[in-house]
Amino acid sequence: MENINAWCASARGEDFWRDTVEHRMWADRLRDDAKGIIIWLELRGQDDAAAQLDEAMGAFRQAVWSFEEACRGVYPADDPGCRDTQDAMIDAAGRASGVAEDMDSELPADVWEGFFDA
Amino acid sequence: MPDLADIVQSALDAHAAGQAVDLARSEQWLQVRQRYSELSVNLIVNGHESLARRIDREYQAVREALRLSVESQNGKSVADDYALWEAVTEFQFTVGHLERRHRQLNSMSHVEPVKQLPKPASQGVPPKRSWTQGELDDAIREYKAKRASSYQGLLSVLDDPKSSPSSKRTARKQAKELFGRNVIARALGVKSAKMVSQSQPWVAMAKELGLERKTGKQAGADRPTRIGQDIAIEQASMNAADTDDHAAADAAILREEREETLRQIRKLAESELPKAKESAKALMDSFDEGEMTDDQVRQNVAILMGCDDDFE
Repeated sequence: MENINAWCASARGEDFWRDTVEHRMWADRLRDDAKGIIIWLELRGQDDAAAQLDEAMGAFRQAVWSFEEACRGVYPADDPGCRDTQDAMIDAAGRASGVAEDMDSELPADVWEGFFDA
Repeated sequence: MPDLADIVQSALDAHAAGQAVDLARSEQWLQVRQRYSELSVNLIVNGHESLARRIDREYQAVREALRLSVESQNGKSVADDYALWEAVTEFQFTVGHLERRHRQLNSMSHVEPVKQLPKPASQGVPPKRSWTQGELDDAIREYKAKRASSYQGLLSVLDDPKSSPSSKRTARKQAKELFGRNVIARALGVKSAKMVSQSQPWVAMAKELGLERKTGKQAGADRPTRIGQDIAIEQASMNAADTDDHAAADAAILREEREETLRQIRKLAESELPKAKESAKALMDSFDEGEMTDDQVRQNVAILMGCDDDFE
C-alpha cells in the first residue's frame, strides 16, 4: 500500500480533476495493490485479516462509485455534492490504508515472508 | 498459453467500448469461463479453499453483473457500466495475483497427490480418430440400427398429432441425448464433429427428429427480446457457438468436454471420500500434463466415487 499516500495527494490535487481516465487508473492501482495483500493473507491462512481489508476496500469501491456518479461531467469541481463525495472517497482510501498498516504491525512478521517473491 | 488475467484484459480491450452482450458472446469470454474453472479446481485440489471460494464468488459476481447489464439494455458501454467494470476488474486483479504466485501456490500446497490411481478397464467412449466420410456414414447407420427401437419410439411420439406438447418436448430432448450431433461425435470417437453434420445418414435422421442446427439468421429470429434470468450469459455464449462455423463448433465440443472433466475432478475433491483431494490432485496433475484424456480422468473419478457402473 505504499502508493496510498501518493494516491491521496493526487486525489486532493487539481490535476486529478483534469482527466477522469487518470483518476480511474489511480483507483484501479490502489484496488490492485490491496487485492495483492488480501490474496497473500488468504494464502497464509489469515482469513480474518484478509476479510477486514476486503471490507475496507469494498467501502472504498462504493465511495469511488458515488464519486463518479456525483461528479460526472463536473469541471471544475465546484459542486458541493461532488466535493463531498471526493472527501468521502479520500477518507475511505485513508481508512483502508489504516487497516493495512494496523495489520502490518499486528500480524507476526513471518506472515509476510515471501510476499515480495512473486 | 496466455494467463487468465491477460485473457480478461484482452476481452476488456476488445469490448470496453461495446455492449455487455458482445462481451458475453465473445470468444474471449468463453476462454475466461474455461480458464476460471481450471484455476478454481487447481486451488481446491491444492487445499487453498478460501482462495477458491474467493474466485468462485468473484466470477459469479461478474456473471451476475453481465446478466444485469445484458437484461437492462441500458445502452451503457462495458467501461461506463460501473458495476460491471468493478466486478470484471476485481476478478482480473485476483486472478492476476494468483497467477503471479503460481509457484508459491504449488509450494504452499496442503495436499500431496496419491501415488497410485485406479486403472480403469478400457471401456466406454472410444478414443478420437480420423474417419473417411464413407466410413463415418456407415458407422452412423450402424449406430442408428442398434437403437432402432428407441428411434422408432421417438418418431412415433413426434409424428403423432395426438401427442401432448410436453411429451413431444420430452421426446425431442431424448432424441438430442441419443442422436444429437455432439453425442454421436463423442460416441464414435470422431475428431471433427463437422463430419457428422456433413453425413447424409445423420442429416436425414436429424431432419426426421427435428434436430437440425439453426442457421445464424434463424437462431436470431426466435431469440427472445428479454433473455431468461438464470441463463442469459450462458445462452449468449451458446448462441455464439450455435452457428454453421464448424471450427467454432468443434472448439465448443472440446471446451464442453474439458469443463465437464474439470467439474468431475472438483466433485471428487469436494467429496467426503478418504484421500479425495489427494486423488483429485493426482488426476488434475495427469490431466494438465496430458498424461490422461478426458475419458480416462472421468472413468477414474467414477471408480473412486464408487459409481463406475454409471459411467458412460
